[in-house]
Amino acid sequence: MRLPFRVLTLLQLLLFCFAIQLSATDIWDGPAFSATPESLRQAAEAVQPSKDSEATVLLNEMRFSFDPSGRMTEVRHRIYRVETQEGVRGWSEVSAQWSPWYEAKPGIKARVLTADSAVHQLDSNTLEDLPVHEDGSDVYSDERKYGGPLPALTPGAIVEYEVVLHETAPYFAAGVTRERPFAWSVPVNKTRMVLNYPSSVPVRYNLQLLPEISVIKSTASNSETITLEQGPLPAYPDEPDHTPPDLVLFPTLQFTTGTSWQKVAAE
Amino acid sequence: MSDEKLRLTDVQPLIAKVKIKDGTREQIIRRIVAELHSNVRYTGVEFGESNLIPQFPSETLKRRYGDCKDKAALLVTMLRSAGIPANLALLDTGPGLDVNPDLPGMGGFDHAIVYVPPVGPDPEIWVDATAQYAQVGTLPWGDYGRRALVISMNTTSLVQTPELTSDQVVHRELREFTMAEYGPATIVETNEDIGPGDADARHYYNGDNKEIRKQAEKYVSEMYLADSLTSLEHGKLSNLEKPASVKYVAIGTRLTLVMAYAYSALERWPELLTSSEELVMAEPTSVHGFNLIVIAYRQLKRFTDWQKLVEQRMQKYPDEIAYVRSAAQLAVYRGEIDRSREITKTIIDKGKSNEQDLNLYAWYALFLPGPIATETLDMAHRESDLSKNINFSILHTLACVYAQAGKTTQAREYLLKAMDAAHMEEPDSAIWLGFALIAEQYGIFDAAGTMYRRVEKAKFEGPGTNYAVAQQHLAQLPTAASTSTISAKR
Repeated sequence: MRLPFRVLTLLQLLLFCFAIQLSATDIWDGPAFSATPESLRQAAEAVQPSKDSEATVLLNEMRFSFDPSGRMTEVRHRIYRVETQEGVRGWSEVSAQWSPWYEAKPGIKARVLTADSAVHQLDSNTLEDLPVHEDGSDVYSDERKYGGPLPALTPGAIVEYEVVLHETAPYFAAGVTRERPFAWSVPVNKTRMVLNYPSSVPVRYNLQLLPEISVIKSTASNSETITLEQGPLPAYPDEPDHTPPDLVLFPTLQFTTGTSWQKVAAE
Repeated sequence: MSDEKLRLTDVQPLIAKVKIKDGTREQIIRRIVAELHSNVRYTGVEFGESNLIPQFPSETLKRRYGDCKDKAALLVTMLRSAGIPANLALLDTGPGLDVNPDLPGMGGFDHAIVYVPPVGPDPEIWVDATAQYAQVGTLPWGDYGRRALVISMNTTSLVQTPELTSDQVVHRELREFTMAEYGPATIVETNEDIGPGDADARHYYNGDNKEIRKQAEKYVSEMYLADSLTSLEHGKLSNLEKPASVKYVAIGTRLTLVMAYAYSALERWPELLTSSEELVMAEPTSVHGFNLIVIAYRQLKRFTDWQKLVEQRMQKYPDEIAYVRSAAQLAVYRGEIDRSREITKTIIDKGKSNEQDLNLYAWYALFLPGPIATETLDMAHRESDLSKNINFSILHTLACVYAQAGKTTQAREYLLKAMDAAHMEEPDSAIWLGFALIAEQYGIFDAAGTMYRRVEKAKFEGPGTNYAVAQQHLAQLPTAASTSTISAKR
């Protein structure tokens, strides 16, 4: 059967739109740095910037995996677009803080896609490892910050980075509680948080203010994986002063490797 | 964190200096805490595992410094050495969201304090060993009402540190103006605090003398338009047994501010305007002076002048929220409720709102036609949450917007909470308004009318008061005839 020309054109158009939509979805699901610059730019174009936002987070992906001794590896994979000149100032660095007594120096990779389709890789020679002084002048610590400036950043540029933080010793044997925000000061298009742990290190988690989040659990060879995916979230304002202890203001993931307060207190 | 670190032998020479045989348990604890502070200052060296594990007491004593867990561990050891059971306790200092009790683990705590359990008639006591200027029994602000993990083999769950109640926080400020027959006036301001504010004051006035003097001079110049600070005196800050009374003495040849206060109290608005204009000429950036002019303009109904002044200020100082608030208030006085809410919304959207802004935003929705928007209810809830549900005005606003939204059960609940918060046994005008709004929702218009009429006029009646809401509703209540028509139609 020959389809009329108009119907064919319409079908082609629909297929094209579907393909674009599909590729946009796939881009945010792939491994870090796997997307071609062109496909990344196309997918980013489908995400409209919000008025007054200095940047748009296209993907905020965080993966937490635990080994049998409770050591955690955290991989932060983020893609964002800088929207304004102010954003160039505020989103110009990739870095991570680390503590040598239980963490290895972070691994950092990044690339910047500029509007002229050029790709600028982060030069590892521009990264620096500095001591961090606590906010109070009376506290001295060995905490460090490793990172450096992003190259060729202008409004419209897309930044993709990956930071890997690896614990060399368990932070606390009786269990560690962590909290990671889904909320940012700018809109976030997609958030994915993945918890992967061996059955011997049970992880419990709690989600706050995320009623529509997708939760997928899977089990394979003595390890469990929980994948949490959240669609677009608006920019969140700063926390007001003097908020009470039970008031949850921001969507957040909390998780722990601890099993009881008794064990934590007895450690 | 284990007890192995708390070696009693480490502290015996130190505890030997403290009188631990005489007095009540609290008196003994005070002496031990005083001894701790006189020997060990607050300084943290958090290298390696010292991030989590306190030093041995002997090491802290040798260094004569320690962070929160070092000092807390030392204090626990000293107390135990004196025969007083005590434990380390970990908490996440406030304000803000507390540790989740359902997710046990290390990582959410940022501070260590000391827990002395109750024994016989002696109640439990919490001591923050870093708070050098706090009385035993008083904690820093951030330690109150938080979940704490007591480090003990008997611990099975988190416990709550004490809640700070309003009767434990007192600030007394006495302002004395002495006008001389000839020559400059003398201004004396005396401040006294009880509670965590007392420790804050002691800490502040024990700081850099030069800087304190500079700030004090700035303060008396701005607050009283004083020409100079004659003296700044306070009691012995380390003597926690006596209040740290702080006295500012200043002299000023300009009595304008004093006069402006006097005219305001006497409700002599034209004179208030003249004095406050003089004030602002002398101190063009003074928000205080601006507010006094606004009071005069408001009482004299000079709204155009008020608007001009606000516009000038907003143009010159776009970041000063006081002027934006004044613009919102002016809009109310002009009957532009929608406009006022729009202006207040800009403050909220900028994240610079306080509870009062949220309260006004919700309250003024009562004057608008149509149903109460969900956003208004959200805002009212947010302010109520922020004020921990103990503020009468805020609970009352929440009740009224619920009533007008037709959610009468919640409205009643919040009205009763508001009465509780104000320790009120009988409804006052504000509460009658809330009940009237509920009655109106039920269609009991006679009762609503009776209750609206019980809402009394305020001393300075203006737009936006309970009385104004009551009058507006009273005017719109169906008459007896129309009520029977409504009933007949049902």
